[in-house]
Order: sequence, then structure tokens, then C-alpha cells
Amino acid sequence: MQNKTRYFIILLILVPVCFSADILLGSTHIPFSIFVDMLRGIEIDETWRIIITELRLPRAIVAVFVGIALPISGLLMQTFFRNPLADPYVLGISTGASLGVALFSLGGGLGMVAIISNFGFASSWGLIIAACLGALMVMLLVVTIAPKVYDTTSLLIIGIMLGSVTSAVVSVLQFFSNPNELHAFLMWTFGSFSGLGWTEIIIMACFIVPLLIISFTMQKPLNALLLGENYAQGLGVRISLLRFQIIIVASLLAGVVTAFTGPIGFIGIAVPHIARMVFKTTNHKTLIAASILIGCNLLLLCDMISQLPGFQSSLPINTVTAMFGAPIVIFVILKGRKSRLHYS
Amino acid sequence: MSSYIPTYHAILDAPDLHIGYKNKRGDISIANHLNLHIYKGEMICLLGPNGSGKSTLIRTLAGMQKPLAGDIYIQNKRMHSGNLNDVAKQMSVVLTEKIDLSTITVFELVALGRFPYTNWYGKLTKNDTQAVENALIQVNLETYANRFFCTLSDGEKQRTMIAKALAQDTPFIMLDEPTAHLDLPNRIEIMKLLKNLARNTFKSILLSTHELDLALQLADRIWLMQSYKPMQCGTPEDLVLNGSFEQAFKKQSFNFDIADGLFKIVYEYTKAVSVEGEPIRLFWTKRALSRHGFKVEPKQTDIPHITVFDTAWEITHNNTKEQCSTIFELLIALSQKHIKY
Repeated sequence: MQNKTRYFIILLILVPVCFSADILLGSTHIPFSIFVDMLRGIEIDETWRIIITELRLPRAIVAVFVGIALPISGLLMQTFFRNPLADPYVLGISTGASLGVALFSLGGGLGMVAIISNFGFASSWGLIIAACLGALMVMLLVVTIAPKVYDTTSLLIIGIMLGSVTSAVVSVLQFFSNPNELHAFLMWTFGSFSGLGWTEIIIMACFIVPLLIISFTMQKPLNALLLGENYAQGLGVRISLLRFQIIIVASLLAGVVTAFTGPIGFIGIAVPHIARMVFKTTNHKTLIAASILIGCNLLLLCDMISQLPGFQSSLPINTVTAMFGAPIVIFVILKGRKSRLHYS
Repeated sequence: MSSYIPTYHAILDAPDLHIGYKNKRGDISIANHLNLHIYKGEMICLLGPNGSGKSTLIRTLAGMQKPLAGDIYIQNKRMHSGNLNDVAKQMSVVLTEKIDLSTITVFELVALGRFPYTNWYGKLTKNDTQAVENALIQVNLETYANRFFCTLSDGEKQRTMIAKALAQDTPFIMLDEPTAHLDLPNRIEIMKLLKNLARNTFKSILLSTHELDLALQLADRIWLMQSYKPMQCGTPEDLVLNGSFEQAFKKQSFNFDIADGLFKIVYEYTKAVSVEGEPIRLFWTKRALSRHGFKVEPKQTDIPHITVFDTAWEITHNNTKEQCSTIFELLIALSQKHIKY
């Protein structure tokens, strides 16, 4: 059997294993037998059922969604910019979402928005809409600017600048807000998979599933784009259309996820690199599928670590992903400096 | 090598083409009223000093930028109206852009040339695989198929990119400075490879290059671009005989010698000597002397006279004789003498 196939099978088997483990592990340990009973349709204790279906299961599904969305978004951005360190956050999409959330939750201090939901921070619909609008705003700005700058380096710099301006506005809002609101906002910025119900999951699925299908159809022109925009055009790729597609898909994937879970760093950069290292290829046919599988497993693992058994409260997911992601980013830079391996 | 017969079957026509850049304050014109035709099976070398607009012309013909005025026709079909996939089946390009991908194999890279023919999923059919393998054979890289592209030498990389263009299976291939950054043997190899492809597969090839010597020897036709002057098109010989070549590349420091078609450095002479001897040894002795500022003159009494023997050089000056066993020693000996010019 080819190594590639073997890795794919291992990753495929790992997904349900990690998924089940993520459901079973947590502050309250769920016995494996009860989980099996539930899967077989046998009546189980109501408390277990609620913990599983209302808390653990949505949480694991959100982890899977994040594991799909952020790596694909990062992969698209890295190919688009021909830069190994590009990811959705570079375009300022996540800071755009942060701005939306900040305007909503901290705006009270400025008299802009006075209503904050009583039903907990993350479940507030207004918050989600605000985050999506913020992400969309930055995304539209980038899309407007993109056709005007010829080279991707300029766009990269514009993305970073937009991100800086947006986060500066967020800082100003934080400065003028009261301690309670600030605390709630900071909790959101830590990133969390919990507190999301089935409604939110359905909304996420409505975005992520079509976007996932679109990105699979883009793999052929993406491979041509590896040679650079001029070569790609020479091969018959409509560059302006592909640029537009990549920006929209990558931004929406990152924006939707960020709105629901808070900004989660490093996954967008790190997972495509792990996929390249494991599968030793630049072919997007392999990389998209590999990034999804690795992303799912990694995020489920991160979620398990964040809610280690025995602890009543869970660690912010962002700190866990940083522990995984930061070493990989450093590794990529060191490797790149040695032989300029992945991209120019 | 079968001989090239002009067929006058045009692959590409660009009548009255104006190239340049569009700008908010107006158009920046690079070259106007170009009348370009590329015929089947010919290799055209696009020559011209830096800044004369070679790259702009290549980019325009490749459809990467729009002409300021005029249209480009490929096989009598207007290029900018056609869909990009159709153009990609008529014309392939090899650019100067560096490909920096660590984990792409030679085969995968060449297979990207099949892009216009594969389905939406990019699946390679038997036919596609065969085309890729043939392309690799044509550039002598068939044993390199599974090597990673980044492990190749510069010459092999360039041949891989040419194979990509061949896999694209187009009647017209355009290359932007394919011999830049290569050493002399590789430069000659690439140029001969392209020439053979034009000959044997009847593909039309347009390449921009700074290899004047090679272009003069290998090109079927030359397009000579100069800033602010009309473009000259013709066989190398026509352009040499009508003086276009000499005029285009005339510089203070070197001359184009119309007698042998070579570029020669113009030396600054400060001293004079006379030399005699066997032709080949004499030729190289004169060359060394020229480089060191000695003008070779007919034998006179007041300048040193050098006799070139089979194993030694003898300097006769002011009734003294001196033997040298190498040209290096000869040059040192001469530098110690007071020689007027």
C-alpha cells in the first residue's frame, strides 16, 4: 500500500476515535458503556443524555467544524499569497469579527448598543450577527482593494494594515468599556467551543458544507496557481475569478467560525504545513482532504486537552492551539530559512 | 536535421500592434505600429538591449496585458475574444518566474501542462500521461520524472519548464529569456533543444534572449527591438548586412564585426609593439597584448619586436634580446621596458 493511502486510512480511523473520546472526557467522566448504550438506542439516564446531546456532542461538532474551516481557509491563503505564513487572520478577517463583537459587547460603554443578552455571552444572536458583519466588512474592503493591487505582496501588507487598524479600534473600545463587559469580551477572545447549541451548529453547517464543496472544485486551478499567476493564466486559468473565489471562500470560512467560537489562532497556519510535511506533496487534491482530516483530529485533541478531566473549568482553546501551532510556525520559518523550501 | 522551408502559414498575426502600459494619466507607449507574424515551424529570437520592451511584447503576446491598440490573432482567431482555455491550447509560455516548491515532482509539474485538457477534477487520462512522458523524453528528462523539482540544477529546471510547455501540446511556444542564469554549455543546450523542436515538431518558437552569438547562428528570424526606433524583423543575415545589428548594439567599449559576426571589445591602446610568428600562436599573443594596451604595429626601429617561436617568445628592443617561455613572462618583461606610443 502506498504511504499516502496508509496515512489517509489512519487519519480516517482517528476521527471517530477522537470524536468519541472528546465526548467521553471532560469534567464529568462519562462511562464508555453508557455511550455505547446510547449509540445502540438503549434508554440511558436523563442526566447522561443531556450532558451528551446538549453539551458534549455540540461541542465536539463545533470542534470538527473549526477543524475543517480554518485549515482550508489557511491553505487557500497560503497558495493565494505564495507565502507560507499567510492565513485567514492575515487578511484581518478575525480582527474584523473581533471589531463586530467589541462594538456590540463594549459599545454599551459608549452608548452605542445598550442591550446585552441575558442568556450568556456566546449564545447571543446579536453578538453573532455583529461578528459576521465585522468580518464581512473587512472582507469586502479586501475584495475591493484586491483587483487594484497587482501583486499579492501588496495585498498581504494591506491585510496586515487593515488588521492593525481594526484591532486598534477594538483597543479603544476596550479602554472605554466597563469591567464586566470587558471581562465578557476577553472571554470571547480566548476562544471557546462550549455554549453553542444545535441552532448555531445548523447555521454553521449551512455555511461550511457548501464552502467545503466549492473548495474541492477549486483544487485544479489552485494547483496551476502554485506556478504563479502568470503561468496559471497561460494554462487557461481565469485569474481574476479565481482570486475572487479564494478570497470569498477563505474569508467566509474564517469569518463564520470566528463569529461563533472567538478567534482561534495558529490552526490556519499550522495544519496545512503538517499536511505538506506528512504527505510530501503540493497537490491540493491531497492537501485539502489531508488538512480537513488533520484539522479535525487536532481540534478534537485540543478540545480534550482544554477540558482535562478533574478540572471544573476548561482552558481557553486559543492557548491550547497556540501550544501546538507556535512550534510549527517556528519550525516552518527555520526550515524556510535553510532552503527556502515551500514558497518564495 | 531537415532544412527549414518557410511555409508562410502564420500561427500568430499581430497587424499594427501598439504595446505599452495603461496609466491613469494616459498610456505609456513602448512600441508602436508593430507588424508581427510568426510562421509555422520557425524559431524567432527576440533581441534588444535592456529596456527596449522585449518583456512587454512577450507579456502582450501571451495575453498577460492588453495591447494599447491592435489585435492579436492566433490561427486567425482574435485572442482577447476567445476563452482562456482555447488560447492555452494554442500557446504555451515559459517565463522567468522562479518556481520555489519543495514537494512537487518533475512529473507533477510537467503534468500541469495538461491543464487545458483535463476535466474539472484535473484527472490525468492515459493520453495525458503519455503526453507528459513524451515531453520528458523530448527534453531528455525521462529518468527524472519522480525527482523533486527543487533538487534539479538550473539547466534541468529550465528543461522541465520547457517540457511543461511541450505537454501543453500547442503549435506555438513562447519563452522569456530561457537562457538567463545558465552557464555556457546549458545555454547552448537549451538553444539547440529549442531549435530542434522547431525543426522536428514544426512548432513555432519565440524566445527573447541576450545571447546574440547563439541567436545569429540558430534563429530562423530575428526580431530586433530598440528604444524609440522601429522594430527590425528578418533573417539574422539580412539584419547583419543591412547594418541594423551593428547599429543596435554599437557601444563605445565594443564593436560588432561584420566580417565574422562576432562582438569584439574595443581596447584602449597606450603602447605599441610589433609581432611576427606562426598564425595560431601569433593570434593568441596579439590578443594578450591588446588586452594589456599594446597596439600591434608594423616592424619599426624604436618599438619592441616580438618573435613568436614554437616554445618561446623573444623580445628585441634597443639591440637587446630577451627570452620568455610563457605569455605571462612576456607581459612582465614588456611592462618593465619604457615603451612609447
